[in-house]
Amino acid sequence: MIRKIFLPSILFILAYGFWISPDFKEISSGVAIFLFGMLFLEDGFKAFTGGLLEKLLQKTTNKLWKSVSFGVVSTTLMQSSSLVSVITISFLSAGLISLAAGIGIIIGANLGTTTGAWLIAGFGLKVKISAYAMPMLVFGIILVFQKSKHLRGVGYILAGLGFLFLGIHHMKEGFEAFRTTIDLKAFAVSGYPGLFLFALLGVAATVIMQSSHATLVIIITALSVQQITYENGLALAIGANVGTTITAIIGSMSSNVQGKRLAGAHLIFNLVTALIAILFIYQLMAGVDVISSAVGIASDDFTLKLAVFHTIFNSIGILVMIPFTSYLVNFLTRVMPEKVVSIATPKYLSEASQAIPDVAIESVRKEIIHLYDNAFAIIAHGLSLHRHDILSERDLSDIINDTNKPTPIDIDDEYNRNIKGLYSEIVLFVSRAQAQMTSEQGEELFELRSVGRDIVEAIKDTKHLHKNLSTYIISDNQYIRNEYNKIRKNLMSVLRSLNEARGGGDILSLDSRKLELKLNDTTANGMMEKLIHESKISAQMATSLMNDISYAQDVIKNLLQMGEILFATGDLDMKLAERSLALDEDEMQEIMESQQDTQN
Amino acid sequence: MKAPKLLKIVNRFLSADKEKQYEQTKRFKEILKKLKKKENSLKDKLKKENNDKNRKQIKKELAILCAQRKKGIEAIKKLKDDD
Repeated sequence: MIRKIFLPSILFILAYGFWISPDFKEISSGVAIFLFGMLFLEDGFKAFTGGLLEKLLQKTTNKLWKSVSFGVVSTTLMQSSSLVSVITISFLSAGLISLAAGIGIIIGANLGTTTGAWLIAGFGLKVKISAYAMPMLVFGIILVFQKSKHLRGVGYILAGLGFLFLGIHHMKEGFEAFRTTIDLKAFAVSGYPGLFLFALLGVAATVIMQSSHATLVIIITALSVQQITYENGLALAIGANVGTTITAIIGSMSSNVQGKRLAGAHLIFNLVTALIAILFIYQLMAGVDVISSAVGIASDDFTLKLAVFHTIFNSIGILVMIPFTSYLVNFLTRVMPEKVVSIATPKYLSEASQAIPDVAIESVRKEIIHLYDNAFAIIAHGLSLHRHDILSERDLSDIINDTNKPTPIDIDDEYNRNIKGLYSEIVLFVSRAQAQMTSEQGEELFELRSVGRDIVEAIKDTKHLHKNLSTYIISDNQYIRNEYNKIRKNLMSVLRSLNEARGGGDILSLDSRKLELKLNDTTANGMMEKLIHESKISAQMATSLMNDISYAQDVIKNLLQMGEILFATGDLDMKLAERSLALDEDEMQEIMESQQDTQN
Repeated sequence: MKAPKLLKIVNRFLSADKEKQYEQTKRFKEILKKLKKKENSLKDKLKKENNDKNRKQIKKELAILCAQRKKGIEAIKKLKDDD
């Protein structure tokens, strides 16, 4: 219930917010563009998985000191720890690096960002990478349209970065209204309460301006006009360090659990560092004075002293946190668990059943029936049908008419979850169990294994079929719609027959389905040619139909082959005798010809 | 006889001992009995059926049953010939 109303409520609140505040609209659109950029960035990095970038990243981040150095260097070059952290999140989401390596980079980025304080303090210089945003977007999109996978990857990365900056720009614009309301003098409080207050202000200012560097510039300006005390200036810098994690947190919203863990690590790291800095602020101030006088910084040169402080407190944070990296990884993995995907596991295969040949064969048969049940659901949904309808006694045409909407299904995902693992276990069990069997028993086991293969093939063909079927069963063209519904009807009737054969153990009854398949093949071809000839369907539709009829026939063929072996009952001899009476291709052809002769 | 699968199975039965061959013949006879029963019931159904489409369908199923039974009889004959 809560889930159902959650999304509409969020949408309503947002819509209301947009209506009453243009600034809120600007900020929200900024967040949306930013997240869009993150998605692009992740796609871009995914293009390089398994290649040079992965190797390079693994080599440069496989040890903690390496990943920390990577963070320091990249942040120094880019002059934005936020950017480094969001890129790291996308690396992690794309599976290019480990969480521990990601934490190392973030730690390094915290140190790398202090070079910004030196640049600002020393040269009044601010590297503005966002100036490249628009060209990045343009070049990126051009590259996205290229055929080469790597060029496209670069395109996605550039466009992703462009969108990130564009998003940040909009967020800044939206927050502009709040910026003027920050009057630092109004918050002048002394002692620890003042320190915490200014740290919070630092967090707020950085969140608003989306840049800790911008906050540093404000602090320096405020210090130079003595709007705030030196002590409060330091607290602001500490807060800025925490506030800068907001970009990573927003960035992790679109990423998988790994990215979220990294954003969590970033926040914990910066919070702990901030807490240490606030608690020991007086000792740190003394340390800054000692170092400043040692390197010849004037005692009233607060700007450079701020840079020294920034470097010291981030270095302390790193020294304190590095020994706890592995604990942090464990903690985050525990607190943010990976979403458990339910994967089908064998029900009947066990070590004990492996030892007795007849029991092993029966276990495999039951397990393959389990596999078939899972496959049945996938095939039914792939045909946009409900299982209960197929198994009912309702008229097939009525069912087709009632289920005229495509069922959304990710067949690949379903296959991975409900078939692949189970099938692998069966194959493994068969290869182990056959060692102690007679040739007859071994042959039966192999027959059963081949049934597993038939099931897998049927699913793969259903996957191909599903794509066009979902489009054409809702097509405006009634002719193509009818043809696809015929395919569904045929398959449904086969699934029904299989169910009957399964219940009654009468596998020879499946032969009439085989004959049907042959007859349908001829009729379908004739019908299709007629439709093309009369221009009732387009050439593209005809091609799709041709392919899909062939996929459907393969599904039927595989399923019937499966049914013949899987649903035979009685002892082994009985099963063999019954299977030997099933009609083959030539015998079917003979019957078909005799039927046609009778009709003529 | 265009059924290599059947030949393979009959050959396997032939190479087995007498008792087993007897058992196999019994299996085929059991199946044949079942098929005959089904055939009779379909024939009855055909007599009562007036709908052309349904009659065609029943005839098809009868043809299949007939072919399956023919295969079964041949298998038994082969087993007996070799006895």
